[in-house]
Amino acid sequence: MIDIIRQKAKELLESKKVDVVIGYGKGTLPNRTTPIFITDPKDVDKLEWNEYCLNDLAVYLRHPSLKKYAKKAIIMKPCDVKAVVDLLQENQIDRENVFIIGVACDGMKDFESGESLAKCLVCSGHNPSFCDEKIGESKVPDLPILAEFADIEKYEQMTPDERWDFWKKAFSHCIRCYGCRAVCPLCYCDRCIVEKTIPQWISSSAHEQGNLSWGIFRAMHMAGRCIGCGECERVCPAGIPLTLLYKKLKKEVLEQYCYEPGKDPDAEAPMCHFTKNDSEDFIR
Amino acid sequence: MSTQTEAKEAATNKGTFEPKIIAFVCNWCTYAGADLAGTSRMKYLPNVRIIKLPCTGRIDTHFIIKAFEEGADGVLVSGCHPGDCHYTSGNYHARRRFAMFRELMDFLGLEMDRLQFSWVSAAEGAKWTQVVDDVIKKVQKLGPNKKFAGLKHD
Repeated sequence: MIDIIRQKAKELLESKKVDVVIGYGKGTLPNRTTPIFITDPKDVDKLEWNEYCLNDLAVYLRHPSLKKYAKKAIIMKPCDVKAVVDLLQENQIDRENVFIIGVACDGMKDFESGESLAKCLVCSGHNPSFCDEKIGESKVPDLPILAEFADIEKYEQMTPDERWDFWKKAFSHCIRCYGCRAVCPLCYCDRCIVEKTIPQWISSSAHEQGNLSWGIFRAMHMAGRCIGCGECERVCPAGIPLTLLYKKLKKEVLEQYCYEPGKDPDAEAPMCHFTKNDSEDFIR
Repeated sequence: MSTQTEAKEAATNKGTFEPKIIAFVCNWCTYAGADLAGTSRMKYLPNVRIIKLPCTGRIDTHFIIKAFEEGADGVLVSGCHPGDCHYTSGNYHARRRFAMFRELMDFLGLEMDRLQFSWVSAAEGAKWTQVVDDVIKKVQKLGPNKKFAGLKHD
Protein backbone atom coordinates (compact mmCIF):
# COMPACT_ATOMS: atom_id res chain seq x y z
CA MET A 1 0.00 0.00 0.00
CA ILE A 2 2.82 2.36 0.87
CA ASP A 3 4.17 2.12 -2.69
CA ILE A 4 0.86 3.30 -4.14
CA ILE A 5 0.78 6.19 -1.64
CA ARG A 6 4.35 7.23 -2.52
CA GLN A 7 3.64 6.90 -6.24
CA LYS A 8 0.54 9.07 -5.97
CA ALA A 9 2.39 11.69 -3.90
CA LYS A 10 5.21 11.77 -6.47
CA GLU A 11 2.75 12.15 -9.31
CA LEU A 12 0.94 15.03 -7.62
CA LEU A 13 4.15 16.88 -6.77
CA GLU A 14 5.78 16.36 -10.17
CA SER A 15 2.73 17.53 -12.06
CA LYS A 16 2.61 20.55 -9.71
CA LYS A 17 -0.99 19.73 -8.90
CA VAL A 18 -0.12 20.30 -5.26
CA ASP A 19 2.62 22.24 -3.46
CA VAL A 20 2.90 19.99 -0.43
CA VAL A 21 1.93 16.49 0.59
CA ILE A 22 1.01 16.10 4.24
CA GLY A 23 1.58 12.56 5.42
CA TYR A 24 3.11 10.26 8.00
CA GLY A 25 6.85 9.74 8.29
CA LYS A 26 9.12 7.57 10.39
CA GLY A 27 9.02 8.36 14.08
CA THR A 28 11.82 8.18 16.64
CA LEU A 29 10.89 4.58 17.53
CA PRO A 30 9.91 1.74 15.17
CA ASN A 31 6.26 1.84 16.19
CA ARG A 32 5.84 5.59 16.00
CA THR A 33 5.03 7.92 13.16
CA THR A 34 5.29 11.65 12.91
CA PRO A 35 3.59 14.10 10.56
CA ILE A 36 5.81 15.14 7.64
CA PHE A 37 5.43 17.66 4.87
CA ILE A 38 6.87 16.68 1.49
CA THR A 39 7.48 19.40 -1.07
CA ASP A 40 10.13 17.72 -3.24
CA PRO A 41 9.12 14.65 -5.31
CA LYS A 42 12.53 13.12 -4.46
CA ASP A 43 11.51 12.88 -0.81
CA VAL A 44 8.37 10.79 -1.23
CA ASP A 45 10.17 7.70 0.08
CA LYS A 46 10.05 9.31 3.50
CA LEU A 47 6.31 8.69 3.58
CA GLU A 48 5.17 5.79 5.74
CA TRP A 49 1.96 3.88 6.31
CA ASN A 50 1.46 1.38 9.12
CA GLU A 51 -0.88 0.67 12.03
CA TYR A 52 0.61 3.47 14.11
CA CYS A 53 -0.50 6.41 11.94
CA LEU A 54 -2.39 8.01 14.80
CA ASN A 55 -2.33 11.77 14.17
CA ASP A 56 -5.31 13.46 12.61
CA LEU A 57 -3.47 15.41 9.92
CA ALA A 58 -6.45 17.62 9.11
CA VAL A 59 -5.16 20.03 11.77
CA TYR A 60 -2.40 21.06 9.32
CA LEU A 61 -4.76 22.16 6.56
CA ARG A 62 -5.33 25.45 8.31
CA HIS A 63 -2.00 25.63 10.09
CA PRO A 64 -0.29 29.05 9.79
CA SER A 65 3.11 27.49 9.04
CA LEU A 66 1.71 25.81 5.92
CA LYS A 67 -0.07 28.91 4.64
CA LYS A 68 2.63 29.45 1.99
CA TYR A 69 1.55 26.25 0.22
CA ALA A 70 -1.68 27.03 -1.55
CA LYS A 71 -2.52 23.55 -2.75
CA LYS A 72 -2.19 20.68 -0.32
CA ALA A 73 -2.52 16.93 -0.71
CA ILE A 74 -3.24 15.08 2.50
CA ILE A 75 -3.00 11.41 3.38
CA MET A 76 -5.91 10.45 5.58
CA LYS A 77 -7.56 7.61 7.40
CA PRO A 78 -11.33 7.42 6.72
CA CYS A 79 -12.15 8.82 10.18
CA ASP A 80 -9.90 11.84 9.67
CA VAL A 81 -11.58 12.66 6.37
CA LYS A 82 -14.62 13.65 8.44
CA ALA A 83 -12.60 16.54 9.88
CA VAL A 84 -11.92 17.82 6.36
CA VAL A 85 -15.63 17.58 5.60
CA ASP A 86 -16.34 19.68 8.72
CA LEU A 87 -13.72 22.26 7.69
CA LEU A 88 -15.26 22.49 4.21
CA GLN A 89 -18.71 22.83 5.73
CA GLU A 90 -17.48 25.71 7.89
CA ASN A 91 -15.78 27.41 4.91
CA GLN A 92 -12.33 27.11 6.43
CA ILE A 93 -10.69 25.57 3.38
CA ASP A 94 -11.39 25.56 -0.36
CA ARG A 95 -12.29 22.26 -1.95
CA GLU A 96 -10.08 22.92 -4.99
CA ASN A 97 -7.04 23.55 -2.80
CA VAL A 98 -7.09 20.23 -1.01
CA PHE A 99 -6.47 16.82 -2.54
CA ILE A 100 -7.57 14.03 -0.21
CA ILE A 101 -5.74 10.73 -0.50
CA GLY A 102 -8.04 8.45 1.47
CA VAL A 103 -6.39 5.27 2.68
CA ALA A 104 -8.48 2.32 3.82
CA CYS A 105 -7.76 1.46 7.43
CA ASP A 106 -8.10 -1.79 9.38
CA GLY A 107 -7.72 0.00 12.69
CA MET A 108 -4.81 1.73 14.41
CA LYS A 109 -2.87 0.65 17.47
CA ASP A 110 -1.69 2.45 20.53
CA PHE A 111 2.09 2.56 20.32
CA GLU A 112 2.62 2.05 24.02
CA SER A 113 0.37 -0.94 24.60
CA GLY A 114 0.26 -2.28 21.03
CA GLU A 115 -3.50 -2.75 21.42
CA SER A 116 -6.18 -1.49 19.05
CA LEU A 117 -7.47 2.01 19.80
CA ALA A 118 -10.87 2.09 21.50
CA LYS A 119 -12.31 4.17 18.66
CA CYS A 120 -11.14 1.60 16.10
CA LEU A 121 -13.00 -1.23 17.85
CA VAL A 122 -16.31 0.56 17.25
CA CYS A 123 -15.42 2.08 13.86
CA SER A 124 -18.32 2.74 11.53
CA GLY A 125 -16.25 3.42 8.37
CA HIS A 126 -13.10 1.54 7.45
CA ASN A 127 -13.13 2.74 3.84
CA PRO A 128 -12.99 6.41 2.89
CA SER A 129 -16.10 7.73 1.20
CA PHE A 130 -15.23 11.37 0.61
CA CYS A 131 -11.86 11.63 -1.16
CA ASP A 132 -10.14 12.37 -4.45
CA GLU A 133 -8.07 9.21 -4.53
CA LYS A 134 -8.94 6.01 -2.75
CA ILE A 135 -6.14 3.64 -1.84
CA GLY A 136 -6.60 0.07 -0.66
CA GLU A 137 -9.67 -1.63 0.65
CA SER A 138 -10.49 -2.77 4.15
CA LYS A 139 -12.45 -5.95 4.67
CA VAL A 140 -13.12 -5.26 8.36
CA PRO A 141 -16.91 -5.01 8.85
CA ASP A 142 -18.29 -1.56 9.72
CA LEU A 143 -20.32 -1.27 12.91
CA PRO A 144 -23.44 0.91 13.20
CA ILE A 145 -22.75 4.42 14.53
CA LEU A 146 -24.63 3.65 17.74
CA ALA A 147 -21.87 1.22 18.75
CA GLU A 148 -19.71 4.28 19.51
CA PHE A 149 -21.98 5.33 22.33
CA ALA A 150 -21.78 2.12 24.32
CA ASP A 151 -19.17 3.44 26.76
CA ILE A 152 -21.11 6.51 27.84
CA GLU A 153 -24.05 4.44 29.09
CA LYS A 154 -22.16 3.55 32.24
CA TYR A 155 -21.86 7.23 33.11
CA GLU A 156 -25.44 8.02 32.17
CA GLN A 157 -26.60 5.49 34.72
CA MET A 158 -24.62 7.04 37.57
CA THR A 159 -26.30 9.46 39.95
CA PRO A 160 -25.61 13.16 39.33
CA ASP A 161 -23.41 13.27 42.43
CA GLU A 162 -21.30 10.36 41.22
CA ARG A 163 -20.92 11.96 37.82
CA TRP A 164 -19.94 15.27 39.39
CA ASP A 165 -17.28 13.61 41.53
CA PHE A 166 -15.96 11.74 38.51
CA TRP A 167 -15.60 14.87 36.37
CA LYS A 168 -14.36 17.02 39.21
CA LYS A 169 -11.57 14.53 39.85
CA ALA A 170 -10.79 14.12 36.15
CA PHE A 171 -10.53 17.86 35.53
CA SER A 172 -8.58 18.49 38.72
CA HIS A 173 -5.58 16.89 36.95
CA CYS A 174 -5.72 19.31 34.01
CA ILE A 175 -2.52 21.37 33.67
CA ARG A 176 -4.01 23.72 31.07
CA CYS A 177 -1.45 22.90 28.42
CA TYR A 178 -4.19 23.32 25.79
CA GLY A 179 -2.85 20.30 23.95
CA CYS A 180 -6.46 19.30 23.28
CA ARG A 181 -6.95 22.58 21.48
CA ALA A 182 -3.67 22.46 19.56
CA VAL A 183 -4.27 18.99 18.19
CA CYS A 184 -7.93 19.44 17.33
CA PRO A 185 -8.60 19.95 13.62
CA LEU A 186 -11.78 21.85 14.46
CA CYS A 187 -10.34 24.17 17.15
CA TYR A 188 -9.16 26.72 14.66
CA CYS A 189 -10.10 30.12 16.14
CA ASP A 190 -7.22 32.53 15.72
CA ARG A 191 -7.98 33.90 19.14
CA CYS A 192 -9.42 31.47 21.65
CA ILE A 193 -11.94 32.53 24.29
CA VAL A 194 -9.61 31.22 26.98
CA GLU A 195 -7.02 33.85 26.07
CA LYS A 196 -9.43 36.75 26.23
CA THR A 197 -8.97 38.75 29.39
CA ILE A 198 -11.50 41.57 29.11
CA PRO A 199 -13.75 40.07 30.29
CA GLN A 200 -12.05 36.90 31.38
CA TRP A 201 -14.58 34.12 31.05
CA ILE A 202 -12.32 31.29 32.09
CA SER A 203 -9.83 31.54 34.92
CA SER A 204 -6.43 30.80 33.40
CA SER A 205 -4.80 29.12 36.40
CA ALA A 206 -4.89 25.36 36.67
CA HIS A 207 -7.47 25.14 39.41
CA GLU A 208 -10.62 23.02 39.49
CA GLN A 209 -12.95 25.88 38.66
CA GLY A 210 -11.17 27.14 35.56
CA ASN A 211 -10.34 23.61 34.42
CA LEU A 212 -13.94 22.55 34.55
CA SER A 213 -15.23 25.65 32.83
CA TRP A 214 -12.58 25.19 30.11
CA GLY A 215 -13.88 21.64 29.68
CA ILE A 216 -17.47 22.85 29.44
CA PHE A 217 -16.58 25.61 26.98
CA ARG A 218 -14.71 23.28 24.68
CA ALA A 219 -17.44 20.67 24.84
CA MET A 220 -20.07 23.27 23.92
CA HIS A 221 -17.94 24.49 21.02
CA MET A 222 -17.64 20.87 19.85
CA ALA A 223 -21.37 20.17 19.99
CA GLY A 224 -22.51 18.89 16.61
CA ARG A 225 -18.99 19.32 15.22
CA CYS A 226 -16.69 16.82 16.90
CA ILE A 227 -15.99 13.95 14.52
CA GLY A 228 -14.55 11.75 17.25
CA CYS A 229 -10.94 11.41 16.11
CA GLY A 230 -9.99 11.20 19.79
CA GLU A 231 -6.78 13.16 19.38
CA CYS A 232 -7.56 15.43 22.35
CA GLU A 233 -7.78 12.47 24.67
CA ARG A 234 -4.72 10.79 23.18
CA VAL A 235 -2.46 13.80 23.73
CA CYS A 236 -3.89 14.78 27.13
CA PRO A 237 -1.04 14.49 29.65
CA ALA A 238 -3.56 14.39 32.49
CA GLY A 239 -5.56 11.50 31.03
CA ILE A 240 -8.90 13.32 31.06
CA PRO A 241 -11.54 11.24 29.20
CA LEU A 242 -12.54 14.19 27.03
CA THR A 243 -14.08 12.11 24.26
CA LEU A 244 -16.81 10.95 26.65
CA LEU A 245 -18.12 14.52 26.85
CA TYR A 246 -18.02 15.06 23.10
CA LYS A 247 -19.53 11.66 22.43
CA LYS A 248 -22.42 12.44 24.73
CA LEU A 249 -23.18 15.59 22.74
CA LYS A 250 -22.70 13.75 19.46
CA LYS A 251 -25.28 11.23 20.62
CA GLU A 252 -27.75 13.94 21.63
CA VAL A 253 -27.33 15.78 18.33
CA LEU A 254 -27.90 12.54 16.46
CA GLU A 255 -30.98 11.64 18.49
CA GLN A 256 -32.58 15.07 18.55
CA TYR A 257 -31.57 16.56 15.22
CA CYS A 258 -30.72 13.43 13.17
CA TYR A 259 -27.36 14.90 12.29
CA GLU A 260 -24.02 13.19 12.11
CA PRO A 261 -20.90 15.36 11.71
CA GLY A 262 -18.39 14.80 8.92
CA LYS A 263 -20.74 13.28 6.39
CA ASP A 264 -21.76 15.98 3.98
CA PRO A 265 -19.97 19.32 3.41
CA ASP A 266 -23.21 20.88 2.16
CA ALA A 267 -25.30 19.93 5.20
CA GLU A 268 -26.52 22.61 7.61
CA ALA A 269 -24.48 22.64 10.83
CA PRO A 270 -26.92 21.67 13.62
CA MET A 271 -25.97 24.43 16.04
CA CYS A 272 -26.29 27.15 13.37
CA HIS A 273 -29.60 25.89 12.18
CA PHE A 274 -33.04 25.09 13.62
CA THR A 275 -36.41 23.68 12.78
CA LYS A 276 -39.65 25.00 14.20
CA ASN A 277 -40.52 21.69 15.77
CA ASP A 278 -37.27 21.10 17.68
CA SER A 279 -37.93 19.42 21.00
CA GLU A 280 -38.54 21.84 23.86
CA ASP A 281 -39.87 19.61 26.62
CA PHE A 282 -37.34 21.12 29.02
CA ILE A 283 -38.78 24.62 28.57
CA ARG A 284 -41.98 25.47 30.36
CA MET B 1 -15.20 26.25 51.52
CA SER B 2 -15.86 29.96 51.59
CA THR B 3 -17.53 31.70 54.48
CA GLN B 4 -20.40 32.59 52.18
CA THR B 5 -21.12 28.93 51.55
CA GLU B 6 -20.83 28.14 55.24
CA ALA B 7 -23.31 30.86 56.06
CA LYS B 8 -25.65 29.49 53.43
CA GLU B 9 -25.35 26.02 54.87
CA ALA B 10 -26.09 27.24 58.36
CA ALA B 11 -29.17 29.01 57.01
CA THR B 12 -30.33 25.83 55.29
CA ASN B 13 -30.04 23.88 58.51
CA LYS B 14 -32.23 26.45 60.20
CA GLY B 15 -34.69 26.20 57.32
CA THR B 16 -34.14 29.79 56.30
CA PHE B 17 -32.03 29.27 53.17
CA GLU B 18 -32.60 32.09 50.75
CA PRO B 19 -31.28 30.99 47.37
CA LYS B 20 -29.70 33.39 44.94
CA ILE B 21 -31.25 32.99 41.50
CA ILE B 22 -29.93 34.69 38.40
CA ALA B 23 -32.49 35.18 35.65
CA PHE B 24 -31.23 35.88 32.14
CA VAL B 25 -34.16 37.35 30.27
CA CYS B 26 -34.74 38.83 26.86
CA ASN B 27 -35.55 42.50 26.50
CA TRP B 28 -38.67 42.13 24.42
CA CYS B 29 -40.81 39.49 26.09
CA THR B 30 -39.77 38.25 29.50
CA TYR B 31 -38.35 41.55 30.72
CA ALA B 32 -41.57 43.25 29.69
CA GLY B 33 -43.49 40.40 31.34
CA ALA B 34 -41.59 40.93 34.58
CA ASP B 35 -42.24 44.63 34.26
CA LEU B 36 -45.93 43.94 33.85
CA ALA B 37 -45.86 41.82 37.00
CA GLY B 38 -44.32 44.81 38.80
CA THR B 39 -46.68 47.45 37.49
CA SER B 40 -49.62 45.15 38.20
CA ARG B 41 -48.40 44.89 41.83
CA MET B 42 -48.15 41.10 41.64
CA LYS B 43 -46.08 39.56 44.40
CA TYR B 44 -43.25 37.13 43.91
CA LEU B 45 -40.28 35.98 45.94
CA PRO B 46 -37.41 38.47 45.96
CA ASN B 47 -34.52 36.00 45.49
CA VAL B 48 -34.22 36.56 41.78
CA ARG B 49 -31.71 38.93 40.15
CA ILE B 50 -32.75 39.82 36.64
CA ILE B 51 -30.19 40.39 33.90
CA LYS B 52 -31.64 41.82 30.73
CA LEU B 53 -30.19 40.90 27.37
CA PRO B 54 -31.37 41.77 23.87
CA CYS B 55 -32.51 38.25 23.04
CA THR B 56 -32.23 34.67 24.32
CA GLY B 57 -30.04 34.14 21.27
CA ARG B 58 -27.53 36.46 22.95
CA ILE B 59 -27.41 34.36 26.10
CA ASP B 60 -24.19 32.50 25.74
CA THR B 61 -23.69 29.43 27.89
CA HIS B 62 -20.64 31.26 29.33
CA PHE B 63 -23.03 33.49 31.23
CA ILE B 64 -24.64 30.55 32.96
CA ILE B 65 -21.36 28.93 33.96
CA LYS B 66 -20.08 32.26 35.24
CA ALA B 67 -23.24 32.76 37.29
CA PHE B 68 -22.77 29.38 38.96
CA GLU B 69 -19.09 30.03 39.54
CA GLU B 70 -19.84 33.37 41.18
CA GLY B 71 -22.22 31.73 43.64
CA ALA B 72 -25.64 31.50 42.03
CA ASP B 73 -27.73 28.68 43.45
CA GLY B 74 -29.94 28.54 40.41
CA VAL B 75 -30.22 30.04 36.94
CA LEU B 76 -33.38 30.81 35.04
CA VAL B 77 -33.29 31.58 31.33
CA SER B 78 -36.40 33.08 29.82
CA GLY B 79 -37.41 34.62 26.52
CA CYS B 80 -40.09 34.98 23.90
CA HIS B 81 -42.29 32.09 22.86
CA PRO B 82 -41.24 30.38 19.62
CA GLY B 83 -42.41 32.47 16.70
CA ASP B 84 -42.51 35.69 18.75
CA CYS B 85 -38.81 36.57 18.66
CA HIS B 86 -38.16 40.25 17.98
CA TYR B 87 -35.24 39.15 15.80
CA THR B 88 -37.30 36.42 14.09
CA SER B 89 -35.22 33.40 15.03
CA GLY B 90 -32.99 34.16 18.05
CA ASN B 91 -34.98 31.96 20.39
CA TYR B 92 -35.00 29.05 17.94
CA HIS B 93 -31.23 29.07 17.85
CA ALA B 94 -31.10 29.45 21.62
CA ARG B 95 -33.43 26.50 22.06
CA ARG B 96 -30.99 24.13 20.34
CA ARG B 97 -28.02 25.55 22.21
CA PHE B 98 -29.72 25.21 25.58
CA ALA B 99 -30.98 21.71 24.79
CA MET B 100 -27.36 20.66 24.26
CA PHE B 101 -26.06 22.66 27.22
CA ARG B 102 -28.60 21.05 29.46
CA GLU B 103 -27.57 17.56 28.34
CA LEU B 104 -23.95 18.48 28.94
CA MET B 105 -24.55 19.87 32.43
CA ASP B 106 -26.64 16.83 33.28
CA PHE B 107 -23.82 14.59 32.10
CA LEU B 108 -21.39 16.52 34.28
CA GLY B 109 -23.62 15.94 37.28
CA LEU B 110 -25.33 19.27 37.97
CA GLU B 111 -28.84 18.94 39.41
CA MET B 112 -31.18 19.88 36.58
CA ASP B 113 -33.55 21.80 38.87
CA ARG B 114 -30.86 24.45 39.22
CA LEU B 115 -30.96 25.29 35.54
CA GLN B 116 -34.40 26.12 34.21
CA PHE B 117 -35.83 27.55 31.04
CA SER B 118 -39.13 29.19 30.24
CA TRP B 119 -40.93 31.19 27.62
CA VAL B 120 -42.69 34.21 29.15
CA SER B 121 -44.33 36.78 26.88
CA ALA B 122 -44.83 40.47 27.61
CA ALA B 123 -48.46 39.73 28.52
CA GLU B 124 -47.65 36.92 30.95
CA GLY B 125 -46.87 38.81 34.16
CA ALA B 126 -48.73 36.15 36.12
CA LYS B 127 -46.80 33.33 34.51
CA TRP B 128 -43.55 35.10 35.38
CA THR B 129 -44.45 35.22 39.08
CA GLN B 130 -45.33 31.51 39.03
CA VAL B 131 -42.13 30.55 37.20
CA VAL B 132 -39.96 32.52 39.60
CA ASP B 133 -41.69 31.19 42.72
CA ASP B 134 -41.44 27.66 41.40
CA VAL B 135 -37.74 27.92 40.54
CA ILE B 136 -36.97 29.37 43.95
CA LYS B 137 -38.88 26.63 45.75
CA LYS B 138 -37.14 23.89 43.79
CA VAL B 139 -33.71 25.38 44.47
CA GLN B 140 -34.61 25.87 48.13
CA LYS B 141 -35.28 22.13 48.31
CA LEU B 142 -31.87 21.38 46.78
CA GLY B 143 -30.03 23.69 49.16
CA PRO B 144 -26.96 25.81 48.34
CA ASN B 145 -25.02 25.13 45.16
CA LYS B 146 -22.13 23.28 46.77
CA LYS B 147 -20.91 21.71 43.55
CA PHE B 148 -19.72 24.83 41.77
CA ALA B 149 -19.00 26.77 44.94
CA GLY B 150 -16.86 23.90 46.21
CA LEU B 151 -14.45 24.02 43.28
CA LYS B 152 -10.98 25.27 44.11
CA HIS B 153 -10.07 28.50 42.40
CA ASP B 154 -7.36 31.17 42.49
